[in-house]
Amino acid sequence: MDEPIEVIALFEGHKMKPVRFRWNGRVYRVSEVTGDWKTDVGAYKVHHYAVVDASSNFYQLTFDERQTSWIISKIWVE
Amino acid sequence: MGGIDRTISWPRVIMHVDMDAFFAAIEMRNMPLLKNRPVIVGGDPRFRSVVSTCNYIARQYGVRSGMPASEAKRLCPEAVFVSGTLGNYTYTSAKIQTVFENYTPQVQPLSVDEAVMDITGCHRIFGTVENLVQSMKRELNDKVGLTCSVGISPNKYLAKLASGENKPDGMTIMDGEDFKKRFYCRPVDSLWGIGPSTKAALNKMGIITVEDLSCKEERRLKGAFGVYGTFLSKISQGQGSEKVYNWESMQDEKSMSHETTLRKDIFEIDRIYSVLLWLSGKVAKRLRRGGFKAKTISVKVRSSDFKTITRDRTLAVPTDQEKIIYENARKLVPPEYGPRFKIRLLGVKASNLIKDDEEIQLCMIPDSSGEKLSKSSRVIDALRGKYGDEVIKMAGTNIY
Repeated sequence: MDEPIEVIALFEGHKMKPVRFRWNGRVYRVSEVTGDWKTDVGAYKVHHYAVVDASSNFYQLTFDERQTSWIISKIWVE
Repeated sequence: MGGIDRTISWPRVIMHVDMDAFFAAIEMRNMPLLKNRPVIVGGDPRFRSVVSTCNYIARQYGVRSGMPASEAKRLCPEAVFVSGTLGNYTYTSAKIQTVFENYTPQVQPLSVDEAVMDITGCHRIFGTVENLVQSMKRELNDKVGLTCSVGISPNKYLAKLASGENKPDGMTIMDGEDFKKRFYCRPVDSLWGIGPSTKAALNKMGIITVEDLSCKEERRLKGAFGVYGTFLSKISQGQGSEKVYNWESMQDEKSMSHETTLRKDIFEIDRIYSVLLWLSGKVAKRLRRGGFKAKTISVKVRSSDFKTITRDRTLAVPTDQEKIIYENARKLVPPEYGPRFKIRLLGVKASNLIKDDEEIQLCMIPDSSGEKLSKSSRVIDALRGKYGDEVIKMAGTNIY
């Protein structure tokens, strides 16, 4: 889907951790980061976060170092 | 706790670790909603694609890796299909590798989700083999949130068989005697390395069980199967190599290959060549990144009726250039493919590898065209390193 989002993130233990994001005007609270990984695009890194909200709905958030921007790339909602 | 007493008398103690349903487990870890559901990682079942892997619930329905996704959907209609996130799998695989290296420096990765390790002597640091395994499992769970199955044996082959004995999240210690007790009564295809066609050929020879196979003379098996017959004889007696190759020591033995199952069968020669060019580029890039050159190029072709052939040729001068790999790969595709048989899968392999610096001794006549190619490849690699793989491509790959 790759839609732009706004993210509030914490930096703790040398790691970035998204805690809240706004997508289409609505704010979502991250209750847990279930997975994180990085991929290389040329000399830059793209950071991926698998996160869930309190209802266990799943979102994949992506931070592109080169663009300094966040997108939401996958969701799984029930 | 009988393990420590048994392994201490073994010349080598080999551990095989297999991550449980690796891709599916990562998806389930990331998406807790998928827990307790059949999960299949692979392509969309509406199109022609295959199952990459699936979790244990889906396996209860008969779903298996490599199966067409449409068949998996038919067997398990309620399964959740996930397209997979390759970057996540390779990243997690690298993290797992660093965990393994905390237990022994002798780690040989076999694939993205399994490795074999020589833990001879190392387990004494932990008291027993069981303690070492439990510690490693805990660390894997803490760092990547995944489980694994472990086999401990005196050789690599038995260790691999042992890790499959108690899945998921299990551990099995198995020496040659245990192997006989467990496997001799089982059908021959319970041994790793024996597929349906070998099983059928063995059954025709009256060999049904592993014990039958172990009783057959090696020369008879060699007569029927060639070199593979020797392998069959050895594995039926639980024999195998105990030498663990870490990355540095693997350089003489490994090969690098890429293959792809096509979205649709293809028969147009331009498309076939275009796929070969794309695959050759991937293989060449890995060769250059590892500092290798290949002396042998192979092509694998699978037709739409699942007949697979492989052909290879040895080069006069080893190469790491996609142009040369591609030109040789082209010549290896049988001429009847395309016009007469549609192609389902294509693969390109570079083997018989040497390190870059060894080539100087092998190549007596300087090759100026090769030098130009190497220079242009270095520039292309630098560009791709900075801006990504898509920044520059061979024109022919666009047809595919």
